[in-house]
Amino acid sequence: MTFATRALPLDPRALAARVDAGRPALLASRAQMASLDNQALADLYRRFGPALHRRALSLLGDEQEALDVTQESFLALMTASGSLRGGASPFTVLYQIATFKAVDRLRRRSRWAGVLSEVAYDEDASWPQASAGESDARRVDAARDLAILTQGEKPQVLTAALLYFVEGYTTEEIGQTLDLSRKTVGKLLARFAQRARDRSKRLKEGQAA
Amino acid sequence: MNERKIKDGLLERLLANDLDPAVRAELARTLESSEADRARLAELERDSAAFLALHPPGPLVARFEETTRRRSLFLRLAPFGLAAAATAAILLAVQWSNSLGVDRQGIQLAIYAADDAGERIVSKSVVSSDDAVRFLLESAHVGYVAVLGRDASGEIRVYYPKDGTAAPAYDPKGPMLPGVTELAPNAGREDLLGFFCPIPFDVAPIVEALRAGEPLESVLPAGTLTAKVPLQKH
Repeated sequence: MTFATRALPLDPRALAARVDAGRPALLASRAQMASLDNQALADLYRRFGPALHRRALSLLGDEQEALDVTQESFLALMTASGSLRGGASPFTVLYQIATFKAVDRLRRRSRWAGVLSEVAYDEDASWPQASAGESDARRVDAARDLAILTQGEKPQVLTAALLYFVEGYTTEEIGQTLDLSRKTVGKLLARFAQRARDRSKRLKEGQAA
Repeated sequence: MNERKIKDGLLERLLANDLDPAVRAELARTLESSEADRARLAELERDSAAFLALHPPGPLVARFEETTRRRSLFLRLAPFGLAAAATAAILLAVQWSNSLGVDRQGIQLAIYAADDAGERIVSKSVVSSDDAVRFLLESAHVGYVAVLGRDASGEIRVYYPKDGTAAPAYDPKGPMLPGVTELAPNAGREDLLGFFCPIPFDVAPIVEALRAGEPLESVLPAGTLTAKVPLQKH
């Protein structure tokens, strides 16, 4: 599955028209998507571009790459032709696209560090984070590990896993950030954790061989 | 200053005015009691203004216009291209179906001798163990590809990218993969395996699974296509 070729159920023109309303997005047809004009795109960018750039920069650590990811995320939104999730807000859709694209780039330069070798989901707690002194280095390693563990995962799962296992979000915070119920977040993470454990075991065996 | 209570993701949504009223109200209450979060929100606001001053939407809009223009041109030319492609596809299918490693899922792997003649080495051909070859991988889509070899002893080699770990990008406009590769210097059967995926993928897990004789489904990203060309080396 490629994110870029999946379509989004959002009409960016409608979204841009609601910039001040702060309302969820409307469903849109392909024809509506095609009719997006430049002004609508510019409005969307002014509203969400800075947040997407910060998101990409926090993962990639490179200004230019983050800017590329930001622009590519908006272009993916414009050119998509299928459907991602009905009723999603513009922020959550773009946030997932940007996260997916940034992690995709991160994955290309990542080597397995083993920081996330024993991932497990606990519905009553957030994933333990490193102490302040070691948090930066550990977070970078964890993000790289997660990039490897999420290869082939859907953008929504990838984003939720990153927020939980790397950035220390609780399931409730993930739900609020991505417009998902806490139960849905729990299911996504529990299933991902199982797949990730299997994959990290193989990676560990590969390193030992 | 007190400890942060609101994660950046939620502050970003708050700043973009993209939250449900109930959540917004809840965050507003938290902000009242959290100086650190108020400071962070103000910092995000300043950063947003600075970002937009440095990177206005103009370049993005120009990029979008160019994408739209190309798509429009493609749609105008598509009927002619489709007719030509259909004819070419039929000819290629007739020509190649008996000799190439054609996978039913839709990619084709072909091996060419890397000598002056550059002849195609058909499936089950007998070749010298140290022959230099080129790989041609046919797919209709942009993506990422790798070519591996598995010999009779179960040894796995990464031919493309040569001993690499990450599958390089692939463009269907250039199906001949770059570089010349020497086949492994051991006699006997060797299966050459082509992998294509629309998203980037790592080669190492595939190598490990092949070595262990495990099913590849668990390590291949969704949407990966494969093709196999068996060769007999002497």
